[in-house]
Amino acid sequence: MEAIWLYQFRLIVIGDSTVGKSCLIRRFTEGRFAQVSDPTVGVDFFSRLVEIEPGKRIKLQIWDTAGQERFRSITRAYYRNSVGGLLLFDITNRRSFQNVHEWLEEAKAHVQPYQIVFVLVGHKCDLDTQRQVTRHEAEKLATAYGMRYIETSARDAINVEKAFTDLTRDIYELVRKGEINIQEGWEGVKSGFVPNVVHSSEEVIKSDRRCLC
Amino acid sequence: MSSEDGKTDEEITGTSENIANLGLSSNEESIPEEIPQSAETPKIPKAAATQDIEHVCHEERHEECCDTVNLEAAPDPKPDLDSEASAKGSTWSTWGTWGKSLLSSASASVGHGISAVREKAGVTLRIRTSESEESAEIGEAEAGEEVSVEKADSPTEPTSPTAGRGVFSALTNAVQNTGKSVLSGGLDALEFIGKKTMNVLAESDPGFKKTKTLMEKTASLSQMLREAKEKEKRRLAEQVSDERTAHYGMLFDKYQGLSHLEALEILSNESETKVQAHLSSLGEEALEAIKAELIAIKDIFLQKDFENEEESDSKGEETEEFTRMLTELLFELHVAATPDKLNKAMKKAHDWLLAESLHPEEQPETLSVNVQEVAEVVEDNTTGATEVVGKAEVKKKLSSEDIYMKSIENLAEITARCIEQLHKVAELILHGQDVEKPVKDQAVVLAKLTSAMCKEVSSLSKSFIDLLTAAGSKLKAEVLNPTVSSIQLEGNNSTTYIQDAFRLLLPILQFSHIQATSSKA
Repeated sequence: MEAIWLYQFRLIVIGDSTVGKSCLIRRFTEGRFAQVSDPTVGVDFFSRLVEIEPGKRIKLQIWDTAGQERFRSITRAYYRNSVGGLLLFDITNRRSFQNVHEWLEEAKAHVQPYQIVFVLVGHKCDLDTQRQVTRHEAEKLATAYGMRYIETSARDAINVEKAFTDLTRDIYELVRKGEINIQEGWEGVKSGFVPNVVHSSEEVIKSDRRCLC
Repeated sequence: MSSEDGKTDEEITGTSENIANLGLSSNEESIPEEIPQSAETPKIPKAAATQDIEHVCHEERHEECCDTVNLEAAPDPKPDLDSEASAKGSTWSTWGTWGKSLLSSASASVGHGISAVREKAGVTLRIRTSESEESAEIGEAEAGEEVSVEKADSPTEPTSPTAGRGVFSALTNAVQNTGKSVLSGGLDALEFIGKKTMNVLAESDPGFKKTKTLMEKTASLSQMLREAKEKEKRRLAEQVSDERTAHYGMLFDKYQGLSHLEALEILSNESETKVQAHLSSLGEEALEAIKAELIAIKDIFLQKDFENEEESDSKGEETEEFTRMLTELLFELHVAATPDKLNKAMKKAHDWLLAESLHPEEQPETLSVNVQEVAEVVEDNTTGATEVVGKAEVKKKLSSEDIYMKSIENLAEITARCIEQLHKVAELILHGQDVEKPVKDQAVVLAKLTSAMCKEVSSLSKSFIDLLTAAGSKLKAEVLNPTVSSIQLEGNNSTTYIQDAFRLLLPILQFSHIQATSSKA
């Protein structure tokens, strides 16, 4: 059965259409890369456990949003309950980099009153020869926004783990320090369950259950 | 033993029908109550925004912050759907709907309710014991005790009078057997307090509007399901690893059913806010005009006959029938939602059934444990439908425990896929493509689609039970019965979730209609 986790973080992945959001998530959650994939409709869901320290597991629930403009009004509704986000652009597509600002503004406007931790991701770094965005300028932008920058490739599985785990660690630190709190009615961070800690009367009753066999 | 089973099944179905009837009739019932209010303030009445059918969770979500526009139909000229059911007092029936919500959430944790009770109480205990127990528990937690107690105690169960008694006697039975003194001692008190509370509330809060708003805040559908799941998880943490039970709630979440439901709920809420905002910006005449249209859409949702007609035996060709129907209906909707994932899940279930029923004579009597196999299947969610079928074929000797586990998993997966499908449809409708098809027609198609899904799920759960019964024919009744009941119950829950998801579509369609009309103008 499902392993026990300390917290559940909800992450949202945003960015222009065709920058590779779904491919990145699939690589991370399923370990595979699909050459062709259909455009995402609205939002899709993935989840995976990440071990940030030995024995400390975080469940990531990832909301994969549609990048297409026509779904924008829908995806907006999904921001609010996320504690973290990956803001993707395609390093071979200058336009997608220029739109990063717009994505960030939109996200900030819709996560209120909660805070969200972003990482800027330059995707498709395997296509270095077609690069239109230099690492330097992307790093500069990320610094200006106060976020990490990382270059990834879903196809060659470069930095995919790192992108997600670094973000998870950052969020975990904030939660640990009490800068992000679990709140009623907010799905961004949920606490998990540690074995043999919770004892309700019900569990006690159950302990003397008869074996089925 | 088999007659015992049949009886249990019947009773369960009976109850769920009753519940459905109550829900529907409650809506009709509540109309007279609200008319005077509407008459006082004709433009924007403060009456409940009872746009939602029986989903109290969504009713009146704007109640405290802004005036809402009443979308309740004027006195319904049509006769009540169920005249007997409508004989119930109107205030109680509103609570009946709550009972239903609670019940459906309660049953999300049923996998656990059952295992909790079945070992304790033994087979004499009907499955609904755990259900009522669960709802009683949740009721307490939600400070809504009166609902569940009232439900269990309801003297006017219309279509099957035995059902009400069944719950109660089962409950008493449970109390005797489990010795849960809290429950037995508290029951009368609970009922008493419940009634008192209701009376007090009724005086200060006609129609329980504020109360419901309050309750709504603490519990939305997906919220309740989540809590149920987490409870299950918490219990799992305690459990020794070699104990095997099927955890519907967790599997449902694994297939992202909860997420889709939550996302659909978000869209539904947003749409309703937008509908209300639009309506309150209109002049009186325009308001009346559009109100009539929106009510017409709502009526389609109300007319919906959710009850499952007689189920025929499910065979391989039925999958194709369902697939064909699904594709056709989605095509009719004029939204580009492909049912691939749902079809795959359905096919997987049917193929498995078919493969299993070919080797019924080889079923072993003992419960061989094959954790690995099940774990693999669980991991393998969207992709390897064929692989799974392959495995099932190779591995001819499935124990009845395995069949039980796989049945529950199949139900959870298919239900999650159905809800995903409805969520996708909602997103596509909302994203404002040119509406080639009038929203009213879309509503009709969606109602048909939902009905087809529910029917398919019920027929599947029936097939699972048949398979399990055949495989476990040599098993003792007290071993077999709880698993049979559990499948039956989770099957019923599955259809409830699908119906709940369908109801969430109403504000979305209404908003889509407003968009379409205003773009025309």
